[in-house]
This record gives sequence, C-alpha cells and structure tokens, in this order.
Amino acid sequence: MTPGRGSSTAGMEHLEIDKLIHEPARMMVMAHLYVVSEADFVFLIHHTGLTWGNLSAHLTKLEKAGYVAVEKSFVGKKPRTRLRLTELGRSAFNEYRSQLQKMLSDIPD
Amino acid sequence: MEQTLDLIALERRAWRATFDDGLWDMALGLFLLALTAEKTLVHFPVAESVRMSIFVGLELAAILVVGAGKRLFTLPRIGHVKFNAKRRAKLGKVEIISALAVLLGAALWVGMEKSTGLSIYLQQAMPALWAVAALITFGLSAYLFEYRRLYFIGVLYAATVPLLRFLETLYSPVAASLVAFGVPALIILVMGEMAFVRFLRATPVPEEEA
Repeated sequence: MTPGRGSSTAGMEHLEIDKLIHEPARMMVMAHLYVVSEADFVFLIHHTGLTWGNLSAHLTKLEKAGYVAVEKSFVGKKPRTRLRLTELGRSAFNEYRSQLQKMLSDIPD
Repeated sequence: MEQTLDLIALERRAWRATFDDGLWDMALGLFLLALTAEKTLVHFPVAESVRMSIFVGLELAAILVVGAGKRLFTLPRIGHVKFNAKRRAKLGKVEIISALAVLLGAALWVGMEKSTGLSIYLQQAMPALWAVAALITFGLSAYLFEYRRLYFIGVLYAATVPLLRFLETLYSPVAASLVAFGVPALIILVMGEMAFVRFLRATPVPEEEA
C-alpha cells in the first residue's frame, strides 16, 4: 500500500483512494506538477492560489510520501526551490485519476 | 483556488502565462521602431555610423526589455517552470522558424534597399514577398506558441512594406516611412505596455511568510 492510501467509506470497499492526493490543495499541487517537468515554489503559488505557508505544509507531506522531489539551490544570493513529481508520485497520480473515474462511474444514475 | 481539474487546460494556462507580461510585444515594437529609424533617417544628412548606432541601440533595447523584464518582473511573479517534452519540441520548432524568418527578412530588406541588381518583376514583388513571409512566420509562431496577440503583430509587420510602397506615391518618403513603420511600431509598443501594466496589477509578487 502506498503512503496515504486507505479504504474508503462503507459500500465502496473494493475501491481505494489515495487520501494524501485526495485533499483539494494537494491534488492541485500534484496536477500542476504532473503537467510540467519541474517548477518552483512561486509557480505553484501563482497557479494554485495557495499561501506560502500552506503550500509549504502540503509539499512537506508530499515530499515525505516520496511523491515530490524538492531540490534547493541558489541563483546568485536568492534561494530557489525546484519541485518535480517523482516516478512514484506520477504513477500515484495516474492511479488516483483512474480510481476516481472508476468510483464516479460506479455511481448509478 | 481552482475548482475544476482539466489537466490540458492547466498546462495550457501555465504556458500562456509566459506571454501575459507583454514583454515580447514591446520587444517586437522596438524592433519595428529600429526599422522605422533606419528607413526615416536615411533621408536626412545623418552619418551612416550614427544611423547604425541608433538601429543597433534599439535592437539591443528590445533584447534588454525581454531579458531584464523577465528576470526583474515576470519570474518573481509567476516563477520558473520547465515544460514537458512536447512543449519543448514546439519551442524548438519556433526557434528554427524564427531564425529562418530573421534570415529571410534580412535578405528581403537588403533586396529592397539595394534593388539595382534585381529584375523589375522581383522589385515589384518585394512588398508582397515581405507580407507573405511575415504572415507565414508570425502566423506559425503564434500558432505553435499559442500566443494570440502575435497574429495581430504579424499582420502589422506584414502591412509595413506594402503600405510604404503605396504611401510613397502620395507623400514624401519621410512621412511614408513614419506612417508605414512608425505607426505599427507604436501600436505594438502600446499594446505591450498595456499588457505589461495589466500583468503587474493582476500578479503581485507572493510574499514569503516568516
């Protein structure tokens, strides 16, 4: 079982959803990193609308889970934090998307 | 925060944000202003070295606007991003098209300036060739970059030489050059400046929390 994964509510035991990605802010972070090769902190703030502290907290969780690789460097005297999805993060996000689609398609009309 | 999750739209929005700042518009406006200066000053008793200095100075200003503007204003606001391989391949295509366009444009420009060795048919066809070359290169670049204002800029660039040829039959060469090149250059510059101001207002630098 990958980090953050757990069985969901009763009646849907056959489905597993990655709760770490399922949180809306983290899902947006993962989605933005999924569509590019790498980005920095400011890019994510601009495109997700999260605050600096909020984004930092979510990234720490994603980094601990091994979904996001964080690389800190300096450009002149300014620090730059480069972020990218790891292979594990990319496959977890793909799996999350298919799980979500399957779960929603299982709901009767 | 974003309420829908369309991955293609997310990627496209991130890509298009690259041109929201209007810096490329301003650079293209300055480039056309350099051509205006060249075309106009040739009719005044100005040394060629001075004319060339003004031309090169405006070209350098165009490069500086993009280089320094991106570094000082754009990147602190929208951050750095490295796009996926598909986007980078498109960027490569645009770079090739741009290089070819610059060479073709320079060849046509020289052809128009020193047209004594050219046949009369080729001389007459030069404005049309210029317009077609500008429309194709700007159109392709705008399509591949998804940079919509570039279509309009391409039309303005394409119109310059045919308009000059037409206006020269009605007015003095100086007035014709100023209108044919200067007016489109100013339109592009103003368009870029408006986009830049809008970008600065809409996109503040994110504050780092203590």
